[in-house]
Amino acid sequence: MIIAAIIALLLFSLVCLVRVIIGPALLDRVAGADAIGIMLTVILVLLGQLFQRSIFLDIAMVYALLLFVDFLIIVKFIDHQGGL
Amino acid sequence: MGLFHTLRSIIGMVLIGIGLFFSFAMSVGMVRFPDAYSRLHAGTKGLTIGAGFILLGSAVMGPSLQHAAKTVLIGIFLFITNPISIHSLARANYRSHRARRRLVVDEYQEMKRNV
Repeated sequence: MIIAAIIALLLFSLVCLVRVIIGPALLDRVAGADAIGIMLTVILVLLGQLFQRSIFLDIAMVYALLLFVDFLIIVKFIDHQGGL
Repeated sequence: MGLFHTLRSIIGMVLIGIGLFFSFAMSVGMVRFPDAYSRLHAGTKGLTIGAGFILLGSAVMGPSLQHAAKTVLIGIFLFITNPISIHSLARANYRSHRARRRLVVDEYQEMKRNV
């Protein structure tokens, strides 16, 4: 069951990768990349559930934090640049 | 103990299924919506609710209480940070002039003009 959920989440993140590749503006690409990152965080939590080890949860926590900081840096870049 | 364990795993599987449905709706909306702002709308809501349900189901199914507490902590963190980041992205996109010329309707500008 958990393996099926992980495979489904990987397929959904592949669908979001299509939007990252074909997106017309930078906004679409950044939104798709954020969706992929959060899905990978959820996949890390499910892997910790699958292997019954809690080290995956620490990695997922740090990953979510770094994703947030990365995203804010990209947004700051777009805002200072004044255009897409 | 056995009945409790079975009940816990059934509830966790149902919650993970609901979260997978929301994630599926999010990925379909991310590809099929015609506009950039509606794609952001699909991304924020579907992703926050989907990830929240999946993390809640994983916390219910988890092996120990510490495991569940860490999972709930990650869920709370995602619930706080994901709307903030998408909101700041939409604001930065609105403030850039080249993107503002492509808008169909701009109610904020009309409201500022009327006040």
